[in-house]
Amino acid sequence: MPTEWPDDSMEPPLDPRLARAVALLREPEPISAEWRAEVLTRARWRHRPARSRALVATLGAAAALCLAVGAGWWWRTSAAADHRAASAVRSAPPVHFAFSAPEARHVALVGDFDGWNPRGLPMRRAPDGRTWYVDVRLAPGRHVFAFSVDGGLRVDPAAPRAMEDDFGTPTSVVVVTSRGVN
Amino acid sequence: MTIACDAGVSPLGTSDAALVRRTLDGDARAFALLVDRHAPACLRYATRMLGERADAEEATQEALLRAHDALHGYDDRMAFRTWLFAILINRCRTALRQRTRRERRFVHDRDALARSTIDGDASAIDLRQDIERALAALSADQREAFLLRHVEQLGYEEIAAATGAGVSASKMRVKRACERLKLLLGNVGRADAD
Repeated sequence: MPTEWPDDSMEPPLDPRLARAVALLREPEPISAEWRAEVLTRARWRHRPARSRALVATLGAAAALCLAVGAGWWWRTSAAADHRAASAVRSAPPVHFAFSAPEARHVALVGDFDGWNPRGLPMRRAPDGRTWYVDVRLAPGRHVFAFSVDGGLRVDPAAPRAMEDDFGTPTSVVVVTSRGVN
Repeated sequence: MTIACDAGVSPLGTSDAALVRRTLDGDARAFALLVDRHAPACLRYATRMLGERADAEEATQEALLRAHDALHGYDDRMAFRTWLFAILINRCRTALRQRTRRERRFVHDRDALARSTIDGDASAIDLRQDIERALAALSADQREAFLLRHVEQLGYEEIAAATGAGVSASKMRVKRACERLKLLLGNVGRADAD
C-alpha cells in the first residue's frame, strides 16, 4: 500500500472486510433530547451576545464614572457588603440535597450558585446504597439547580420545577432564607 | 426520549458561517441549528475514539461549549466542521490522558488480540464488536487519523489542520492503521488457510 498519492481520490481502497466494518462505524449515534437541551442551556448561561455586551459596556462606563466620584465611600460599603454576604453564607445552615439513584455511577449537584459548572459538586452515596447526598451552604435567595446523573440532568422530585428554561432542561428551585430552606 | 438529528443543511440553506454570525448577534436558535447539524458526527467520532458513551457525551458537550465560547475567533476561511473537530480532537485527547488503566473497557493485551482469529462469516453485530476491539488496539494517533479519514471522511488537508500533524504524517498513520486493522480483523488469506 503506497504511502503517498497525488490526491485523495487516488487513495487505495480499503480491504473489503474493513470496508464493511467502516460502514458499521459510520452509523449515527443517537442524540437524546435531554443531552441536547443541556448543551444549549449551558451555552446560553456562559455567553452573552455581542449586542448585550456592548450595552453592558456602555452602561458600565457610565456607572463607573458615577462611582468614581464617591470612590472611597463606595469601597467601604462594597467591602462591608461582601463581608455581610460571606457572613450570611457561613452562618446559614447547610442545605441538604438528596437524590435516589441506586444504579448511578456518578451523581453531582449543578446549579446557578457555581455558574452551572459542568463538574458540579460531587455527591456521596449513602449507606443505604440508593441515595446520593451533599450538604451545601448557599447564600439566601432563590437558586436553580439539577442533579447530574451519569451525565444526564434530573429534577429534584421533592422540589418545585423551574419554568424559565427555553429548551426544556429539567431544573428545580430552592429558596434559602437566613434560617435555612424555605 | 431520543431524537435522531438530521446533520444536513437546514431547509433555509443557511451556511455554517452565517449561523456563526447570527449566533454572535444573539440568535440562540442559530447555535441550536449548528449543534443539530454537527453534534451527531462529533458524538460518533468521540464514541469511536473513546470507546465509552458517557465519556464521549462529556467530551462532545465540552467541545461544543468551547466552540460556542470561541465563535468570535472563528475564521470562515476554514470549514466550521474542521474547526469544530479540532476542538473535539483536543477534548478527546484530554479525556484519554485522564483515563486510568483500570477504566479501560477493551482488552489491552495486544499480543493476545493479534493472535485472535475472527470468524469470516461473523454477523454485523459481531463485526461491529470486532472492529471496536481492533480500534482499541491501535495507538491513539492511528485511531484518530483512521476515524477522521474513513469514518468522518475528512480530507487529508482537513485532518492536518484539525490534528496539527502534517499531511504526510496523517497518510502514514492511516496507512498503518488500515494495515493493523486488516490484520486484527483477519484478512481473506488467513480465513481461507483456516
